[in-house]
Amino acid sequence: MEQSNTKIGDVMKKNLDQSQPSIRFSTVWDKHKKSSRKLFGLKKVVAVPLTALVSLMVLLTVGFTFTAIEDNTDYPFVDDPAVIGKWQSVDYVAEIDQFNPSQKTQQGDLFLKELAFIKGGKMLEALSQGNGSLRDLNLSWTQGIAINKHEKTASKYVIKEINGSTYMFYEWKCGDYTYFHMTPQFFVLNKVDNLDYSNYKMAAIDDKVDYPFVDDPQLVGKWECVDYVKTIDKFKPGTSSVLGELFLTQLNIAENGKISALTSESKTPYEKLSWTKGLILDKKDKMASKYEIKELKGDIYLFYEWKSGDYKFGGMQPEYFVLKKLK
Amino acid sequence: MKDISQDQAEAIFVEHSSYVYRIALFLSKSPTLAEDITQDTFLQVFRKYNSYDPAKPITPWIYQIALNITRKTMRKQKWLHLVKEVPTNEGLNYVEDKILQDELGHELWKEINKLTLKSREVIVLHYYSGLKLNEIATALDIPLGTCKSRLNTALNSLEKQLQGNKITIACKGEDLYGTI
Repeated sequence: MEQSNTKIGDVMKKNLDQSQPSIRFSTVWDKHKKSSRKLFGLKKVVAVPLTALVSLMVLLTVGFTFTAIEDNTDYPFVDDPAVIGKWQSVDYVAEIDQFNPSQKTQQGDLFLKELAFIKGGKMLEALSQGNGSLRDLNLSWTQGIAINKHEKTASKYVIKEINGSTYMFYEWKCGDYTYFHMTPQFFVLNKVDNLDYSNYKMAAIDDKVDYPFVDDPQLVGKWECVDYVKTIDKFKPGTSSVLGELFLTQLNIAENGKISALTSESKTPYEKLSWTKGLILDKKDKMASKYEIKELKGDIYLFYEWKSGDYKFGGMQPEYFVLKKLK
Repeated sequence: MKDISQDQAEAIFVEHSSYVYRIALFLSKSPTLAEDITQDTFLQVFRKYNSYDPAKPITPWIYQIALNITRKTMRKQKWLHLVKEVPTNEGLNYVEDKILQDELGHELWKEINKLTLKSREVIVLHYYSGLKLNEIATALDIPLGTCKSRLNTALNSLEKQLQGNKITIACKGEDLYGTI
């Protein structure tokens, strides 16, 4: 057997090293000079006022028309034995009729990887992010419809036999549909098995949560959630990168290591969190989240590493809730 | 920082244009697109040079620009394809059509080219351009963890694709992370 890691480099060198661009530096430099002169003129005379005017119009239009779509998700359960089992994504199409098993429209990994429909109306979903395994994301189904109560979407599904294989066309209702009112497209999934996934065990990450209490007076107080960002450096005070409401709304952090968290989904505070210097701990679900406190533009912000099911069961990189200290 | 001088621009172009072109060629599989991507990359490098932090290495910064332009160009191609205005892509199989010297290398090269764009991006930056994982993370504007997992995924896919051949992927997972 040949070990290919060094070979990968060799093969790439062999195939790419002979290729040279025909473009010359002088051509690029001339274009650069011309375009920078043009840009300067445009910027001063037309571009800046025009961009400002267009932005204002867009803002006004969006401000007046922006409404998130909320589907009816209240359907009684109707059984559909044909849907039970695991389905694997094979394509993503704008219209059902567009699908051709021998000529896929998409290459590479598809965002939605798998679905498992369980008897009685439960569903599991696997995305190509993280560890890509099936997870319980609180989705449910009834005949012809997959329901996401959290996102308030009801996606229709259609099962078809094509060339002897069973395919599902699954309406994909993401932010483009909810916030930008775009027509949903369809994931095409191929039936893999008819198994019952009721007892499917999700592989979970358990953090060490057994830490002694170390005080951090800076952390104590009331914090209001203002944003949710991929990494700490992406946060810009005064702006929000999230469309719609934030799941975590407030943290009340007491001196004794206790935390009371408020979410947009419940009026009852979540009291299971605790803290020690540098970490917010969820001992019940075995998750230890790092936190950082920063002063930005005169306000104090808490960056709270959010370890949701995406981290625990999906192995994905945690993101951050940003909370502003209330005075 | 001041605007870039012609001498500085030429030095950067001479040092990096071939690599940018080859990465663009590998990702787009089209010499025409690769030429366009190379030109647009350096136009942007020259224009944005005053925002470049000289305390950091320049290569990941240039590659970041090149990759963004490559992705944009390829998205545009997809769109043009949908509206049937795609220019004749005379070089689509250019890379695959190269004469290859040994059979295993040929097989490996074929399978590398079948990987997804995301996978090919990390593979070309790591194995061809010789960037370390933290530099690749900068170039792709992703966290280091994501970068490691993308490289691992790419190697896993490659291994799966190569099953039945006499090639195995030697280092994956933690071994691979040692390459930082």
